[in-house]
Parts: sequence; C-alpha cells; structure tokens
Amino acid sequence: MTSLAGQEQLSVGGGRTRPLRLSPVTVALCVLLLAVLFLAVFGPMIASHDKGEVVSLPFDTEVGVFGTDYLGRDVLSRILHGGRPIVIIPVVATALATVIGGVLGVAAAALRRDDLIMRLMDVFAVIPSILVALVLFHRFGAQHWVLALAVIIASIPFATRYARAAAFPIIHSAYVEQARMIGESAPMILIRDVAPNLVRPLLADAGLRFIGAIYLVAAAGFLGFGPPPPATDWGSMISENIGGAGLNSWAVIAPSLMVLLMTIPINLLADRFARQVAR
Amino acid sequence: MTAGLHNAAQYVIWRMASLVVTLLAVSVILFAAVEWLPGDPAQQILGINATPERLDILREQLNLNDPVPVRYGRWLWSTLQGDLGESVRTNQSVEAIISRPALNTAMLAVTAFAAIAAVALLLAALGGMRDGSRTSTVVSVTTLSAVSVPEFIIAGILISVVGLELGWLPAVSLVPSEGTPYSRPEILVLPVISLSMVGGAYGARLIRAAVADAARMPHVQAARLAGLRESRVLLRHLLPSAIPPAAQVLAFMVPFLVGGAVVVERIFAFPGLGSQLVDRIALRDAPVIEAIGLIQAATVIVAFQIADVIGFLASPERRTAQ
Repeated sequence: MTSLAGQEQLSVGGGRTRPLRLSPVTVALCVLLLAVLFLAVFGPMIASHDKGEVVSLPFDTEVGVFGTDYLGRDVLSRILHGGRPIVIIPVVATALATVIGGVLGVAAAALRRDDLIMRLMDVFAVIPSILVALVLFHRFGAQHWVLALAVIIASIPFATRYARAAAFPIIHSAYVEQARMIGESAPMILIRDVAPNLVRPLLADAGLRFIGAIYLVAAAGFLGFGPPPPATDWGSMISENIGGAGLNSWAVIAPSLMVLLMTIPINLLADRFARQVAR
Repeated sequence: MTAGLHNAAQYVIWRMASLVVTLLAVSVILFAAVEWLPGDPAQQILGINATPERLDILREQLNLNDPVPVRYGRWLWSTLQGDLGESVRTNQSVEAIISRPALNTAMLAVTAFAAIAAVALLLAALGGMRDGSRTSTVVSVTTLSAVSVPEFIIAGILISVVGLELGWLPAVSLVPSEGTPYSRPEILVLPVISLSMVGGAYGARLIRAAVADAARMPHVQAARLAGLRESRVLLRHLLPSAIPPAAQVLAFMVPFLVGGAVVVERIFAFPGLGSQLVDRIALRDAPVIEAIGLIQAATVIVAFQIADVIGFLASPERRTAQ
C-alpha cells in the first residue's frame, strides 16, 4: 500500500497556517501511540524472559500472559523484544523519504521544466518495490539499514509526486511572486515563504507513508527477511506462529494487536491533521 | 508539461512514446539490478566442487564473459522478438516456467481488482454525496479503520477463523494441477477478501475525497439549488467530475495487486507470479527474474496510461487547458 499513501490530500496544498487544535480524542490517540512506541523501544529492558529462552512446551497457554510460541518461548517477552525494528526502521525511513521527496518535489514545482525529475520518478514508481527490496536483501543481507533503504526507495517516487503537488500552488502564489518582485533571493523565499507552508501537508503525508513503511518491514519479516533468530519483530511473529493459531491464538493475535495499536492511531491522527490543514 | 498538444491524436501518440521510453528505462534498471545480485551463476549451478575449467566452459555457454552492455543488448533484442530465453537452472523456457503462475496471478488480481473497484466506488458514492452527513461519517471511520489493518493480519485472521475454526473455506489456496483458479473458485475467496479490504477501503477514501470535491463545485451546487433530483445530480453532474480521479486511484491499485500481492500469495500458498519471483531471486535465475519484473512493470505502466487516457477523455477542457 506504500504506493497509495498521500494521494488523498493532493487537493490540499493551500498553505494556510492556523494554530493546531488539540481535541481530547487527539490527545488520547497521541498518548496511546506514545505508549506503544515506549513499549517498543524500552520493551527489551522490561521483558521477563530472554527473546530466545524456552520456558515451556510449544503453544502452551498456561504459561505467562499470552502463553508460548511455536518453540515454547514466552510470547509477551518476544513482543517486548520485537518492537524496535518495526518502529525504528519505519520512523527513520519515513523521515528520510519525506525530506528527500520534499526537496525533489519542491525542485520539480519550482523549475519550469520538471519533466526530467518526474519522468525519473515514474520509472521508479513502476518497478516492483518487492523486487528492489529482495535484490537489496540478497546483496547486503536483511540488515536494518537495508530494510530502511528498501522503504526509502519504494517511497520516494510517491513522496516526490505529493510534495510537488503540495508545493506547486505555494510557489506559484501571489505572495511568492511579490517576494520575488521585491528582490528576495531564491533560497530566502524557499526558507521563509515556501517551507513553513509545506510542513503540515508533508507531515500528514508522512503519517500515511509511515503505515506503508510498517507494511513493508512486516512483509519482509513475513517473507523470511526478518532479523536473524532468535531476534524477532511483530510481523515475523505472526508468520512464524500462524500454524499454531488453533492451539494458542494469542501467539498470533497479540503481535497483530500491537501492529494495529500502532497503525490505527497513526492513520486517525494523520487524517485529523490533514483535515486541519485543509480547513 | 503537455503544452502545445491540442488534439486527442497527438496526445495519444505522445503517451505511447512516453510508454516506450519508460519501459526501456525500466528494462535497463531491471537488468542492472539482477546483474548486481551477488554470486556467480556458473558457480551456483555447478556447486562449490566445480573445477575452474568446467566453470569457464559454462560461463562461455551462458555468455557470462561478455561485457554487461553487450549482454543487455542481446537480452533486449531477443525479448523484443518475443523470446524470453531459458532458465539458467532447469533449461526450461522462461515462458513455460512463468505462464501458469502468470495466469494464476492474473485471475487473482483481476478478481481482486473487480472487488476493490466495486467496494471503493460504492462506499465513495455513499460517503461523498453529502459531505458531513451521518452516512459520510460512518463510511469515513469504517474505511479509515480498514486501511489500518495490513493484509497479512486480515489473511491470518481469515485463515484461523474462517479456514481452520469454522472450516467454511479452504485455508490453503492450492490450484488444481489440471485447471485454473477459476475451476476451483472457492480457493480465491479468502485471498481476494484479504487483498481487497485494504485496497477497497483506501480507494473508497481517495475517491470519496474526489466526489466531495466535485460536490462543492459551483455547477453541482447550482444543480442542487435548481431542485434537480438527487439521483440526477449524482448521475449527470457528480459522476462525470469524479471519473478522472477515480480512474487514477484505481490504477494505483494495480502495482499493489501485481507486486504487493506476494505476501498474500505466500500466506495462502497460492502459486502466483510474486511467489515465483521470490523463489527465482533466491536461485539467481536471471532470465526468469527479468521476465517477471518486466511483465509486472509493463502491467503497471499500461494501467497508469489507461487511467490517464480515461481522465483525458472524460474531461474535454483538458484538451485545451494548460
């Protein structure tokens, strides 16, 4: 779904800045999201068992909070150990993709002849992202930075297209025209007049792109390119335990819930954010 | 970008030319990427005990000693003539290897695309007609939640509940050896639901936004104020304005269905093109990888072009605008 994120707000880009309203729902969503992120980052320090420690028989529901997985390891402990890759990689990759896409998009919107940048993006947009990811994995191994690189390559064409659409009306607006007539330098106009109005639409887009990044990292785990065992991530946990879903369904449901507790608040927040930008 | 193109024929020619150029650029990147895969194919085939002499002979047979541009040119030339070459692993023709998986994936993707289009258009029409109504809010919250559920989670839930607990539908989508997915349609149900829930919900959100934008346009509001019946406003004024963005949105589902379906294919053990690609990359089977990558990219390009042409045809003002 990476390819789609952000198309929705293409009509936004008006560039009006208003103070951000914080409704109780928004605050609650932020708290929930921060709690999940906190668990993901500091989980390995709280976990009662090591990620590879066998505590009982496979799919034993009597042990621990969520029972054991297909090798008899504590599901709760593995969830606490498996959050970092699926949180940190998408955050880093999304941030980088948004910055690179933003720069390329603004450049494409500012230049008269933007054909070259956009045609290049079109070429990269049609190459299957899974093929790019797999070639990178085979070349460098499924290390964290390789996963991040795969996400960035898959996102940039679409981040650029979105940034161009958002920047175009700003760059060709009356006040930028005025600034140019006064004699402001181009870098000054970009920093003072264009960039501040781009921050919010790009952030709303980044929220959706972040979901796409989580999908790709989880999918990589699913296809066998997760972290080397006994390390794990939530996506890999779902795939490795799916055969025993009938014996201990928590082994599949718990990591699924963790993914959803992250993706649903982010989508809701990005949506609220985008609405505020639009109005 | 298309300044100076004032009639449909020129537009179509310009489109075809850009299609060919894009496909050529894709083929270069694809060939380079496969070339870049680690490992010596000859070594891979003969194993680590192969003598240097035998390795040399095989490299010569596979034309591996030629420079990369020469091999790219040779590959492009034979591909253009419809010859996809042979697998370096089994000596089968690439065509024989990928024709069945391609057909399977095509059937899965076409079915899922139809489901996505139906769900997306229906929900978008429901939610977009009157911005801010209760139906619109319900559609918005539902689709936003559905978008947040990755397809492998939906697939996992469907397999464990519908497939295993209830036993209503097969949890594994094995295609009969004599026949196609359509000869056992029940194996397609769960994969299609997994693929179309996210896509349908996302498409609905994007198209809904387009319909809502169209509903705010002056001529639509004027039609409402003039007292036209809602069904007439919808059919005559709303839908035509929403067609170009809807076509774009649905085209964006194609890369997802063609390439991204690999996770769903894997979960349901469905013998499709995506699974074949994953396996062949692991085997460094260059001709097969290149053929699959080219087919997937070409499908996506054609889908984008169709969407652009539909958008162009649906909005006459674009012919003179810009």
